[in-house]
Amino acid sequence: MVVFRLAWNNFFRSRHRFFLASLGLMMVTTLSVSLLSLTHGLATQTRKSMENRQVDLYLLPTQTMLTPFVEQFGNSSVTLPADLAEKISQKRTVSAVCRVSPFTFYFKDRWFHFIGIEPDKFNVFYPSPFRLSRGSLIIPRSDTLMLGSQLAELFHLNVEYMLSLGNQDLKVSGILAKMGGAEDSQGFIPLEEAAAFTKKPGYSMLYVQLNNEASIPEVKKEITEEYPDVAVYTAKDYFAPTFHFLQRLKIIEWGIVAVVILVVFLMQNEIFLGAAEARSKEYAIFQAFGASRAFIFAWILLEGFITFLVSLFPGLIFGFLGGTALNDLLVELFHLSFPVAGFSFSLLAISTGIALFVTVIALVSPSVLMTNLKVFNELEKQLCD
Amino acid sequence: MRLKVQNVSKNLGGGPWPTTLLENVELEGQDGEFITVFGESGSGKSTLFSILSLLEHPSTGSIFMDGMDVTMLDEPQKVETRLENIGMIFPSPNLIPSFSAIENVLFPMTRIKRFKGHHSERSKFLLALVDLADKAFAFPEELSLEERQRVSLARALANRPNLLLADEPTKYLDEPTGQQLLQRLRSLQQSQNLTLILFTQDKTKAKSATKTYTLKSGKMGTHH
Repeated sequence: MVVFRLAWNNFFRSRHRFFLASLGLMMVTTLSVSLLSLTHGLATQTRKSMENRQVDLYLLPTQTMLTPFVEQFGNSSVTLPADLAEKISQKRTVSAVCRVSPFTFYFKDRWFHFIGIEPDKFNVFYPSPFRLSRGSLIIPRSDTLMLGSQLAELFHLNVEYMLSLGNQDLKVSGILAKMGGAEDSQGFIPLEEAAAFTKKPGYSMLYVQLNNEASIPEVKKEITEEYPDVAVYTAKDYFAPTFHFLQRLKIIEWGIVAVVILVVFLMQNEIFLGAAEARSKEYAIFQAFGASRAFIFAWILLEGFITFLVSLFPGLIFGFLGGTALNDLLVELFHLSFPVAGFSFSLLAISTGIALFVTVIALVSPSVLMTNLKVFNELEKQLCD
Repeated sequence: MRLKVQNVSKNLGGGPWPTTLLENVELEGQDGEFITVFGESGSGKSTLFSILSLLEHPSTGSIFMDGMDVTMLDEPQKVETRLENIGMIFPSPNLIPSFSAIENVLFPMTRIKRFKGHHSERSKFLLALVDLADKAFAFPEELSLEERQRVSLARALANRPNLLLADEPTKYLDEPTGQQLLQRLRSLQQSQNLTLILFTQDKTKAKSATKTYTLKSGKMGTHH
């Protein structure tokens, strides 16, 4: 109780020192949460996308390179044979085959097929009316035509969204976004290109669903042998480059967090050790009146813990805001939309862990240093000055 | 407290030429006695104060407090002896800045069991003794230097010691204020029958002492 009262009073009566300490901790928490929420969001979205599709095999021309985060339907001019889908769907274990064109995209758990541009500049979509799920029939196109604004309304898009489609970024204007002279006036795919595509005999890739997962290796082997120009990927293989990229990103992130921890650690050490020297008379008084080293140690730790608590919550809030800001920046600079994870328990746990770790090392070390420097042993002499 | 200091020396540094701070110091005191130790700056007063307060260990010699040689005690026993028997007043008040006056007085009581359950009442009583009852919840920065020194006097009496050591308590006070503090100290010493040792540079402050020792270059001179 005495230790708590002391730590509490000190926190509010030594504002300068604790402001710097809190700022340091807040920086670490903010940075950790920002970066973690970004990769966490990316990984979650990729995994969700992989699971939601329930596609067992991805069939692509062998020349197509798998690239992280880039769906393969638009980045190759090479197409699969026109009759491949038909042949594959006749196999005994195959339940459904989906033909994917450069103008197919997956958004908010639904599939859309972009069919071209009307002369009066309207983006036109044919949304698939269902989610892909095991056993359901995959229809590559629906008969419902939707305009960009209708699509936005369907998904309650209040602002402008960039959709990556083929080699183009397509802007979908949200219901509240300002309309220009023509709706969705940016990112149009030229009419000629869309028209040319409809005449192409092949597709960029095929999604294949099987009757049961157990037959995946068998069917994969069979298709590979029958069609040497077709690369067959399981879902795990297809998303592997993305997961590898995320893994590398995570290592870079932890590197950045480690550097910041080090900087803050040195900063805190400087603050607290400097303060410890300045406060050595205070420690001396306590020792003279019966406080043990354990008491002083507990007191310094408790001060740190209060600092930690005071810094943690703003750090978390700034962190989650920072993650969103980072996402906006990436969108602005590279036209890449990264999903950012919201406030979640796991992120909270990780960031709290990091902040606690920084607090402990930043606060224990000066005490240890003080002991090693024998500051404690010389304390009492100061009282007679 | 019956106090006997025998052949106490304090050397700093090792080797063939150590610095001698105190050399074969002898001192004696009885219950309720007022003793002054007079000496110029650098004569070794503060070193002797620290040794008698059990904050420092002598290089050689013995100190008997009520017949017990306290130089033989280990560190925790010394802390306990200091808390239970010795009150200390330093040249500057040395209060804990983040504690209020009452908390400063109360803190030494929390380290031993003597006044368990009565810390608050006793702290208030002691602050009233030094006429600071109305400033019990003021922080040191809100008090004058003389008021802070009065709080430190109340703190020194917190655990009802029988030996009170005062190292130049008026050093940073002006003459009239210093005199008032000394009178207060003296009257409390008499009312509580404490053995008081006052370390001072000013011979006039030693006037009413029952015994006066003179310390010069670490050596204790004649006493009167």
